[in-house]
Amino acid sequence: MSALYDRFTSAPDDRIQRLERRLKREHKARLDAEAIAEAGLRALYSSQRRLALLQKVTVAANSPGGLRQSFHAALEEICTDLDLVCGIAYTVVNGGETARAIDLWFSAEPSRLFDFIELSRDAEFRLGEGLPGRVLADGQAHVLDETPDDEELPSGSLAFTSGLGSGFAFPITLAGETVAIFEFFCRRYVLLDTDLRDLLQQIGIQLGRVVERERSRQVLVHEARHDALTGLPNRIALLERISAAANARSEDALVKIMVVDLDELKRVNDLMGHSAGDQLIKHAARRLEDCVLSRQRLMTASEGSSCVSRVGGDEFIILLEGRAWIDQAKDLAAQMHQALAQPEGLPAGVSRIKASIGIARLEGAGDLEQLVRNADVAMYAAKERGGAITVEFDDSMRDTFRFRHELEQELREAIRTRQFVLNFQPIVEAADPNVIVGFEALVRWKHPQRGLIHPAEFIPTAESCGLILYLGDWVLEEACSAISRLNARGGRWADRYVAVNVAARQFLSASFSARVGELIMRKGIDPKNLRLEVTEGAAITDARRTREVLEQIRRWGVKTSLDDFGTGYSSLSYLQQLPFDTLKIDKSFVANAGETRSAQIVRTIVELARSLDLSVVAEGIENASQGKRLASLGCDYLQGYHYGHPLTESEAFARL
Amino acid sequence: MKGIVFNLLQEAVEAEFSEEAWDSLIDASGVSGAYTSLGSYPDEELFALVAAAAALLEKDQADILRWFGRNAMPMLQSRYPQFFASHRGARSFILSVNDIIHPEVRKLYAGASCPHFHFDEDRAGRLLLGYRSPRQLCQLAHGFIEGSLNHFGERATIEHVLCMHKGDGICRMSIDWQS
Repeated sequence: MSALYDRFTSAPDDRIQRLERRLKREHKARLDAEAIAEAGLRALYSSQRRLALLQKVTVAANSPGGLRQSFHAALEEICTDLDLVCGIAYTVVNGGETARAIDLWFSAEPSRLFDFIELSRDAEFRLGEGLPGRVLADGQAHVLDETPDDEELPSGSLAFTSGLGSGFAFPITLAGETVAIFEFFCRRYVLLDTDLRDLLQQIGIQLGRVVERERSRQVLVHEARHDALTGLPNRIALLERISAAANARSEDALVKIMVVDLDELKRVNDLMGHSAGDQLIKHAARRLEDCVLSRQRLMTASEGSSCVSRVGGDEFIILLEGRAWIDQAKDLAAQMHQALAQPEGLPAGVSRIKASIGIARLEGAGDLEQLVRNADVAMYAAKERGGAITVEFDDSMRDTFRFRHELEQELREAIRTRQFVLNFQPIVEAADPNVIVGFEALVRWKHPQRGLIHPAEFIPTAESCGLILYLGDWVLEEACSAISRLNARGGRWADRYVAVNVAARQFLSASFSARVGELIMRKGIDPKNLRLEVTEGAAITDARRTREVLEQIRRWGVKTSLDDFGTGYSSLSYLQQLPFDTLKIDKSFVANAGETRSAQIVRTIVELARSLDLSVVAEGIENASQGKRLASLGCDYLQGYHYGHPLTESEAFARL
Repeated sequence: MKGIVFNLLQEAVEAEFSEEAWDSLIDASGVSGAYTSLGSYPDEELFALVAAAAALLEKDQADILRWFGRNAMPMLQSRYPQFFASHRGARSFILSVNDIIHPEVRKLYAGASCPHFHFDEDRAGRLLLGYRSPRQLCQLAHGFIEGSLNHFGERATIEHVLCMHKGDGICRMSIDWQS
């Protein structure tokens, strides 16, 4: 035994060397094991990420909103997930020879890329031209090189001055045919490796199904020229009838159309479900048809003819042509209001149907689409006056319509040439109104002809035409710049915040929280100096998403306020679920805080805020006595003309 | 802090000094010393090792962190060549750093905190790199940038425009290839 022991035992130096070799082997084995485990984990992680994105795109593809909505949701998901700056959708036209942008895009930084997107949203690429044209040519995904030629993109140089360093595009396919193209841009280099190519191919196939559905839907619409629910002619059939009527009659003013819009439908759908809504539509269709037929029966074909059609969810259009009808339109409308008001035959829970009716007549050779638009404008005027009435179109309405259209054009120009400024209104401590705790940033439009315009005059238009996304993004960025400028001056500014109003649509967009984080980093500001104000609109539209966004933003250290509290639904359930920091009591309660009832409401809101650990700001304070009263009711902070009008940035800073 | 950072520090110390030097640092700082790249360890252990190295070598901690970042780059390259292969220069490589770090951290620990670098460019074409982290390791980032410049054989001036160590809200470095 001892001989064997000696054979394996060596001198101490040798032993040390052997131990060192053993240690090296162990060390190498550990590194190898780590490398194997990491490679496996990395593969698993990337495939999970890919599957998660594919699932999101599949959900978007299967959403019921139709092609535009599905494509937009998919662009947004892809941009957000892969950290891309913007995405643009193209359809394939001209027998597969041309890719044409369809004004469908998503951008994480809309205001910064305004010029680029404006140029891209109706761009066209021929076969082989630019990224979309290359995709069209061979049905494969293509990537833009790190240093592309200007010919790569007609808008190439603009893409690069906008800081978009790279991009790629891939086909949306249906049975192997390229039916649409998605194009994306980003700041960094994109490697189109096998994994990403596979993912894009899967996404392309999923979205191809959206195109397939849209096509079959259109085929059905073309084939069946009647509305399936009511059996009435649909829009296509109606426009043909109007066109035929306009051509057949040489005299003016023998064609009138009525647009009938049911005021109730959305509420019935929401409260009682879609089958009740469908029942309501069918019922309304019969009543409208009965009214028209009761008069039509008294006319010969040459005296007059008519057509009742259903053109949209809750919209009917009635065509009236011929001498006999022209003077009867108003009476017919009155008869319709009366017939719809009858309760018999309505779904349970609905006592009557209210409708808004607009009437327009064809003038001269007349543009038919204009005719329908005029009737629509009149119908909206009826709706604005509370519904259940009839309005006949006249030229003053055309002016209103034109004014809105012009305002929209001017707003576009204003965003392009940066005609907006931010003003800052102080927010003070209730306990000592000499102490300014922050400012609310308020946007003003410095119109070159009309001077300073108040937001109430342009925000509703900006919201209705979608420009609010650009404008809101500009306000947020500008407020962050202001914070960074004021911060740079140091001193007493350090604890003050700037509150920025965020529109519901902007707040709920998938990239919003990332955008806030991005701006904080780019402007180098402390998140505690920024506060975001959201109205109840966002919470009501999508409470779950609102909660997600709030939580993400709070992770950055940014605080949030619920604006105009008390005017909307003011539901306790969402207030409890949503992690806001501050409530802003609406001005309307402040103005009447002297009255017992309003004072009690304010006191209740304050108690509610206390129990949820929220601070309370009262806004719209115009005199000292209002301020004292609200402070005594327990509000923490006060804002209003009494403590300071909205100021320019330098005036605001001087107040500190 | 990911184990790989400790592994790289060990490799850098052993390559520049000796295996004994690493053992001395472990003893002097009182840390556990057993690190695998698959694990995650308290930030304090890294800070303790850096502090011990600074004391032993009579240098600033900032110098140690920059030295480490610079020397770690060739080691990263030999461990993970795939992250370097697709880049033609340091600028493109630096811009891809979030794409590299995030999956590398999150593949191990879903939801783990990892540094996010924010990039921007100023009018003069300088690359601006923003960094905000409670770890305040901007000097390590500085070293990594120097290491990547060396890797691609480039020269640039790195400047700390804003720094959390100086009381700013974030750290921001500018990288200027022109000068």
